[in-house]
Amino acid sequence: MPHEAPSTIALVGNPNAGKTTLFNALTGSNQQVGNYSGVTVSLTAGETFTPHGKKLRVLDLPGCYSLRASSPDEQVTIDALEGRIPGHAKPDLVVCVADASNLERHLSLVLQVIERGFPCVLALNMVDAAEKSGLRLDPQKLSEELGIPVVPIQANAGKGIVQLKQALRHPFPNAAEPVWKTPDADPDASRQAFIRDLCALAARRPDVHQQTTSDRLDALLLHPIYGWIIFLGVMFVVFWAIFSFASVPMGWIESLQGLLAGWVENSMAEGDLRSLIVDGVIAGVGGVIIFLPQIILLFLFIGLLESSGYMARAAFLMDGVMARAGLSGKAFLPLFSSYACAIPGVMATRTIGSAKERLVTIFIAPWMSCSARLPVYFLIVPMLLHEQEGSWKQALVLFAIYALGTLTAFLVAKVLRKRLGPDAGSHFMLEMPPYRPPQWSYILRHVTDRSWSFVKNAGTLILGLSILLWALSTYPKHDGDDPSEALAHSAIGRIGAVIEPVVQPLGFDGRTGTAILTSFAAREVFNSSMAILFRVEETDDDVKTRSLIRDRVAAAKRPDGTPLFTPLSLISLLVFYIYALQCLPTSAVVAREAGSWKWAIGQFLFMSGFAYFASLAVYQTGRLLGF
Amino acid sequence: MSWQTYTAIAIVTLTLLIFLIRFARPKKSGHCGHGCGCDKKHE
Amino acid sequence: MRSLLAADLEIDSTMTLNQVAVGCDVTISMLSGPGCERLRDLGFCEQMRVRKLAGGRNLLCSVCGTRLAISRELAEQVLVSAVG
Repeated sequence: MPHEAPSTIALVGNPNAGKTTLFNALTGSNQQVGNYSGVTVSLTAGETFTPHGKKLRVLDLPGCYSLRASSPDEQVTIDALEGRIPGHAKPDLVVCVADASNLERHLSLVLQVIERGFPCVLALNMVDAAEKSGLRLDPQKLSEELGIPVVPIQANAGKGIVQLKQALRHPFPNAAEPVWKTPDADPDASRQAFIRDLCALAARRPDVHQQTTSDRLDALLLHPIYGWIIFLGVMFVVFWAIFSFASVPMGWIESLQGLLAGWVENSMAEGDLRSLIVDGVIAGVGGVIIFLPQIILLFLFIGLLESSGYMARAAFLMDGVMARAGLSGKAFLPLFSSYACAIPGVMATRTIGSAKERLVTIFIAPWMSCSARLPVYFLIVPMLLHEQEGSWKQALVLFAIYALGTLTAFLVAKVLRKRLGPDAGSHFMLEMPPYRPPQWSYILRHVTDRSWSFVKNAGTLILGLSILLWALSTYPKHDGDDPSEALAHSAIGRIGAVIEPVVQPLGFDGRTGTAILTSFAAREVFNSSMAILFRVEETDDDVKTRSLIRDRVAAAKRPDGTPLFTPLSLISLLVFYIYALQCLPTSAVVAREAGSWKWAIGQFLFMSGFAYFASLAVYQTGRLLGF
Repeated sequence: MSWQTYTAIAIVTLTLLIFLIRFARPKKSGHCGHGCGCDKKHE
Repeated sequence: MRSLLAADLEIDSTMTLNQVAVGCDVTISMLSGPGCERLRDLGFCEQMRVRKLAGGRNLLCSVCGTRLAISRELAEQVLVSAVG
């Protein structure tokens, strides 16, 4: 009986060969798992169809230079090829993706795959760039010498895909014989000799070194002085752009929120349900959704930087700096990704060869203020500066916040690295892809995926938590007119009273303490909680400034009449949020990547404790100094 | 207690139940709230 | 069959990649050290032509038209000779 299970093909190739672009071209919207900042750190599976209508499972494997298992990436590739990854069958055929301009370097992996006995097809990618640079390619000759089908393609333009699918028709070609293998010679050397001869024959280079546009750009961007200035400039512009461009759409969202709340209030009689909808759901979820424009912009910039090739240059420049922290430039991308979300950042550490460096990077990743903290920062910073959003002062303060988190992280990394001790030398090596115009379809898909996850999260987790918080602050009810008494009587008021002594030395009151507690479920909930907890302080219904929450919180007073939130307590609050680790999913990923829960628990305890004491120190020192 | 209060309390109870169930059962798809795909078992 | 002495002389007359001046083209004559497998995987193979683009803590080189960055320690393991 013929098997109806679809055959599995795997995509293998060097990093930057264009495997993932090919994968997207083959599977289109059928892919199941997304990539992070262009680095495939896990298996992506999808489906495609041959011209004859047969279904094929496609596995996109991490880019690697050889099958030697010198890094976790390569180990995953080897495991996948051997069929050792649960949930994925051993591939029936391997499509080796190679950069046509780089065959001398990319063919080694192809030969190793053939040696392992897999039927192979060689996809020669980026043939357009190769031809343009004067390379003389002879796919026919390559195919003859290698014994496998060779298909020239241009994955980012969708060219050659049909021909590639033709080569994938059933029955699959047989595995080729590794003709270069000689019984007693060193396998590396015989591969190298074969590749050299083959390239001289079928991939002739007119001139070994050419001054390309990328080289000219690198002369400037990697310059020891100008390169750095440009790098810092780029980083600051990215920050500033995110925070100023987003202000207009944020205003729209806020107006929409106000309209919606007003409509509901006018359509319903006063009562608990109305309160649930307006003060619970709309306020709670709105307090998070309003930051969607910023999230979108942040992911957009990260995608742009990575896609254009600039990220690799940044890693090169940062290597020297990161060495002071005991890290290498390879840790730059994971840490930079952590500014968006620590989860993919932690996973991206698989490209780091040194196990100890990897652990340290994972440990400090949460201190790269992730995007979930942005709603909290955006609530507090304008209050601190008494200004509207979008000003350069705010960007500067935000830059300082990020800088503080980053610097502390590096200090801790340095200490931790020393304590872990040196390891078997794993050295810095990095390939710089040529600069290229950003691949918009890829970036937009990436941004859409991540932004949609953010919205979904708001619609589910945040919605649920807002409802529960509303209940906690409404019940048990209190007969009487005084709103603050009613709040004190409710469940959350009582929790707040219990917490108050613990957080008072930090400059917070019971309500803020409660909001902080709730934000351990998800940081954005802090805003929702503040919106709900402070609603009874509302004295003015006209929304003059942009945020209802900020107005109310700023107007909040202590029992003795002094303002609740002085600049000092706001700074103390900011410091707390910079350092607190409040994301259970991150801890789960850390536990998995570090290999044990001990690391995750230790990280949580350390960071929580650090946050508390840092906040304490800031507030108490400030008070001593008279602020 | 008006119908509004009853409805509100019903919604709250439902929400609480959903949370408890999700917490007790190991999450099937998507360990992370932020919807990033994770590798199937690494070991 | 080269004598041992001649082979020694050949090694002495070559330089490591670190010692090459920026902007020079050289040919890799030998790799020696614990990192040579990784170096070969990356593209630094015997008889490959390399142009050194930048030096210092990390080197930037051009091999077959691709820019590659490697650390000083790794570059120390790459022995080169003048193009010829």
